[in-house]
Amino acid sequence: MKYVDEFRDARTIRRLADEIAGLVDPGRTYRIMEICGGHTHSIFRFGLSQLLPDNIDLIHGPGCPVCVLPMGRMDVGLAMAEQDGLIFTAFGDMMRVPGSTGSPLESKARGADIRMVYSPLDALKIAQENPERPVMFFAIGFETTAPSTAVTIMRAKAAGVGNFFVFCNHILVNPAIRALLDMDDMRLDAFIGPGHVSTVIGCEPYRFIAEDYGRPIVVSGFEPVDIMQSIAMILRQMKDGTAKVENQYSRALPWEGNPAARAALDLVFETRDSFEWRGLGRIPHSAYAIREEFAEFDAEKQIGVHGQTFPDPVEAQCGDVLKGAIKPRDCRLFGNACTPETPVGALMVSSEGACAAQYKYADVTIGSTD
Amino acid sequence: MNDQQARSCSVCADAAEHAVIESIAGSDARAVTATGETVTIAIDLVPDAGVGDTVLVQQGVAIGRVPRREIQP
Ligand code: SF4
Repeated sequence: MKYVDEFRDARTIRRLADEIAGLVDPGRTYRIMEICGGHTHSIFRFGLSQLLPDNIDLIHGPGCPVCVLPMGRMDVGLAMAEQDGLIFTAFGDMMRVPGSTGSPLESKARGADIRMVYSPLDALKIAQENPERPVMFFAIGFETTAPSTAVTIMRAKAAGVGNFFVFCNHILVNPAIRALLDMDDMRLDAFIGPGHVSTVIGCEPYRFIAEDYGRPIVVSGFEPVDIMQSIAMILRQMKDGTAKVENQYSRALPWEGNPAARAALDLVFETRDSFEWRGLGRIPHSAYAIREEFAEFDAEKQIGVHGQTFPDPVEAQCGDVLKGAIKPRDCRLFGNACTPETPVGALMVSSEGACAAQYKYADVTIGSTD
Repeated sequence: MNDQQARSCSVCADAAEHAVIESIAGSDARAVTATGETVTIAIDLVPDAGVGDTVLVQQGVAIGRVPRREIQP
């Protein structure tokens, strides 16, 4: 795997660390947010923060869709799961996410028909194989996962499948960035942009970050060399007093993204007026809903929900971690009440969650490339 | 579990994998991933991708064509 080796090369990483050290102004601090959970995971896994000067603070952003899903949405999904005869399908990573009455796995233990799928297309196949039973897919994710849901709904419509429903929790990255930038108590100097979301939306939509807010953003790949290089590119912009959108990941990411994927998103989805994010509150136009033309597949319209939804537990500080106000280890539950085995918040469940990543890689050696 | 899966979450964008298209049948294709695994993928969203092209695959659906050959199976 030539490219992976190339982008984990320890000497290149150290050279970039030296370059970064030469670019920083010791008289100031830098708060750089990585938006994507994949970047958060790589930063912890390879111990990259420890290679940076002390005055660079990497803030872990709200880029893990499981982590920002409020418990109430999980409760709605699980209430659907407990309806007679319904088959609930979701990705494996959703199975241990706690709702107020337990996780999908615990619902399964109570008798609900919960099935793990790799793709929404697998969920559609289950519906076609079980025409007498309603099949619900718990759709979640940013603009990277929304296209696969859109394709699945388009295929369901073309095939005339009447027992397939999607519980749509797809969210959008840019409204969340704008909401963070608009928060009075939040100082963010620059962003490491999400590499795979940009494969769909392209790099243009980030222009507002540079032009309206004067902050640099560098869309980055996921390997340690990518992330270190992106930080160096950000610092170079800041040193030059410029703010623009740059694409560090051009080997895999076309600037314009994928217009065909965006067309599918536009066909199937419309943006909701607002959507609740864990820790960030309601953010305008920050999520997709299924369009009226595809309403027959919309679980929220077609499946009645019985049962209550609950807010997040008060002692959990997931919101503060998601906003970058505190580090995961500063949460009062971290490592005691909340561990990967007994997660209280979703940030401890998903491998992209900042808490799970910090817990798992607490002892990682500096600049590890394993 | 391959290296990509070990570090990734299927909900999160970074679970997307690169794969090289080997053959096409209608809206589906057979493609080979970085670890040499052959998978069936939906290619509805990459209308100009052909055999030999690298695509980014998220949950069984190709969501974009990759400009440079990213992987060498
Ligand atoms: S340690 Fe647990 S409760 Fe605290 S912020 Fe992390 S996931 Fe939330």
